[in-house]
Amino acid sequence: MFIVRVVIVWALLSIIFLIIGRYFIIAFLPYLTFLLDIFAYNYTNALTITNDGFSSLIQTKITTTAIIYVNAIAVAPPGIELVASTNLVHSLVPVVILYTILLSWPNVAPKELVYLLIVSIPIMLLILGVSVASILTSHIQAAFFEEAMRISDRFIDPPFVVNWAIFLESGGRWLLPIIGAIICKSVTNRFH
Amino acid sequence: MPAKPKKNISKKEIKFLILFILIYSILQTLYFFIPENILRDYVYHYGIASVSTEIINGFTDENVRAEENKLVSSKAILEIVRGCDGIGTMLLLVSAILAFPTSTKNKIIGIVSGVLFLYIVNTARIIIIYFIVAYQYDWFLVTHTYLAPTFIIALCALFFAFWIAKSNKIVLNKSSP
Repeated sequence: MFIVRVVIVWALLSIIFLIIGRYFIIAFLPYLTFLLDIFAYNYTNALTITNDGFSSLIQTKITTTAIIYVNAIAVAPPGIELVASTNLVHSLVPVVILYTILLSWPNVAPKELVYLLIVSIPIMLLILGVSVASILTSHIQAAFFEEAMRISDRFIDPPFVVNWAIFLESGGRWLLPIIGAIICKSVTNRFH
Repeated sequence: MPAKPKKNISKKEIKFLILFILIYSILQTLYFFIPENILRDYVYHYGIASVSTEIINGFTDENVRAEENKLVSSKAILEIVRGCDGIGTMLLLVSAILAFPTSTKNKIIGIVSGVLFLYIVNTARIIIIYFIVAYQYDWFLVTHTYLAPTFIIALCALFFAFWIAKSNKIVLNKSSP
């Protein structure tokens, strides 16, 4: 029964987020823009949902407002525009994993499930934020760093956000919702 | 009457979480130290591409061949790269098993059976994705970037839950008079 329950929950959530995923992300665009602006220096973000023919993308178009320096090397003058994007449905993977685990958790009473879902909201926002915003920022930062390396003709250590994005893309994106689900359950156990 | 268990964020849970993240980070770092050519020419070629090719050719007339880290046929070319090789999920499961407080024997059983289980699941994923690339390319992105990872992690969580249940049963059986 447990296997069937997990598969049904996963299938339903996958279908639901496949249908409403675009609107779900649109609802959080102001939040994601806020996070992107925290990471931004000397540039502004304009976050939109676009389509590349095969799939929807979360795209940020940045415009530099002052000279961008990397290790004292000027890599972009003001007024330069750069575009970075990430696949929209791929960004929803942590959300689907988080709620698949929470809604399939064995031996959870309906009241406890309500608590779990309430506790999951800030966790979901945190996971969505640290994954989508950092991946978009890392693309921008990587472009600046590549330009700095090209100009200086030497290797420059990438910033933390680039390493963090590599970690996320190589499995960290899956680790976050698993950790998030365990935290949700632990917090719920404490208050329920 | 037995005392009602205290519901709290226990030290055990915190220890498990910290160990889980720590072990996973170490394993991920080690994975990144593996040279690209070792992965491409040995792990992906012999471990994934050749096996998948044998299975596909055994049941169909696709005439697929394994070239380095690629499955190549007249209809599709599927390249297996770091991050899409299924190793990430194996590392997640191994980390969770290693972090969970149980006997070494249970951990070894969990790791061996878990890695084998995920290897079979991942091989099935590669074969399905090959057919999607060959015959229904429109479905590729949604399958590869959304359905497959979420389903495999759900299976991973299921395996972990069953392993915990089995491990606890073994421990309880041993401790009962």
